Amino acid sequence: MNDDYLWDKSGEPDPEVRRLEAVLQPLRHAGRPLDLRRAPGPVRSQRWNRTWMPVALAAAALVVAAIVLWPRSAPTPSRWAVGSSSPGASVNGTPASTGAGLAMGDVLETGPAARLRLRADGVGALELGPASRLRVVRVDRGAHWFALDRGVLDADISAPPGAFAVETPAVRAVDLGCRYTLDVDPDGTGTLHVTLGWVALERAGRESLVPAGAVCAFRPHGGPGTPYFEGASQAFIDALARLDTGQADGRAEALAVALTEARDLDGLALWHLLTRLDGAEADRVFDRLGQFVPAPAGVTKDAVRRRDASALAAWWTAIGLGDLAELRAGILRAR
Amino acid sequence: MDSTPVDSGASTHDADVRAAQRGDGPAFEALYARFGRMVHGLLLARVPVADVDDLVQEVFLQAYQRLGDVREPRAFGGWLAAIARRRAVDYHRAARPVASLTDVDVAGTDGRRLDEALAVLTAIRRLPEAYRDTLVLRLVEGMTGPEIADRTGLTHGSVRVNLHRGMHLLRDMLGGNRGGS
Repeated sequence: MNDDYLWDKSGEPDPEVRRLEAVLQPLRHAGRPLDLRRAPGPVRSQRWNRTWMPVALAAAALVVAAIVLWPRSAPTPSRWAVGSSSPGASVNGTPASTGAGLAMGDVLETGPAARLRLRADGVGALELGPASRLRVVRVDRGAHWFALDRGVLDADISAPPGAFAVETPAVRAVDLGCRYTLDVDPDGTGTLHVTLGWVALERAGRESLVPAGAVCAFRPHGGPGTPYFEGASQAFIDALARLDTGQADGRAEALAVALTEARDLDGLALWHLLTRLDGAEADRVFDRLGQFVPAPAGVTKDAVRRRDASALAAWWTAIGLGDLAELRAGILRAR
Repeated sequence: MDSTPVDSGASTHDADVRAAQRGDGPAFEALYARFGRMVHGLLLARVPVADVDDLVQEVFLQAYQRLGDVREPRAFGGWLAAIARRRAVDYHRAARPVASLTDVDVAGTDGRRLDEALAVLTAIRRLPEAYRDTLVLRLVEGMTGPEIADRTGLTHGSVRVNLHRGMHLLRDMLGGNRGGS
């Protein structure tokens, strides 16, 4: 039976899909009428203002007023500011104060029990946890770059993919939308935990793409590790960590454990291994991944060994991870 | 047979977005009729069932006020979906006790039938986000794959793969549970 019914309700109905449709029907949207009386109405965009405001002013022959008002309607860069802070949080060595704006080069630090919240309209919000150090690297219209030297950073970003990025001693985290936590130890090792959207970790040509519900470790000189979905066995996680070190010692055993412990959901991790391992190791991952998600037409061991971009992208999509090109476009915007 | 109307999936809402941006209430209500199931489904995948209807209203009211942010009408669906997902995050972030994800009373539905629906929904909620969203939109809201792609802004390929893989995982989960229930 094919998936036509699941896709567009055509073809021979899949009995299980039909059963689930019937079971879940009581939860369907009932179409309660929308009550717009509670809303004050749409706020006109700045673009609308830029288009029509001068016309209205000209019609009223208020040329002078138009000259004065026009600059006010022009877009201004989103500005990061301190949203709130607790005792022990500082900006450039002085206690942080709510509402204070941030500029390139500013250094934000928190004590052992302090927290610091930052926000920028249209970009997002950050929360710096205790014992953390964050620097403002670049802030202008299209780019919002920070550096987390140590500590914990919760990021909730609404800016377009690629606009927000955080440097750590080991990796660069590029936001592809939109919520995650970075935890960096003083020695530069750390973890990324994504709760909504996607984040890319990169360093020196090595790249990890991490979706919501997944975790990725990183370390200095090794860059981003292999991401995996939560719930993986500890043996699987340990095996990935061993493979990520690149050391020959214990490598064959680690690969065997990773392939044995892999779950159906671990296509994400196996795909990343495919892009990092060579020769016979890559072939073994190819076979194991193929047991969960058959390689699409044209995706061969030879193509994978050559790191053929279209072959890897096709398998990525087949795994159910979406459009690789769209994610890469966001990463490129951050460079 | 499912009586939910199935449209062609073509994006015909551009004019409604433009009109709603000018304060046209009926145009926005047309957008609600077109995108209501998507927002409901995305919320249903994330927050307690009992709160979903109220949150759907909140999401649309928030969208109505922020319509000026939409520069490209065809991006409206993805933009609205982002608001819905963010509202769900804010819901869980709020420092207040929340209801169980399956705490609900649906008028006119007997308890046993509702329990069965909630059991399946709970299984779907355990899936990764991409599979969870597409399966709720397909199986609960009755949208077709092309409709899901049209409303959310995802490609047909992505939606089709998410449906296929998500359904595969869901069958496994339900198959494993069925013997014990």
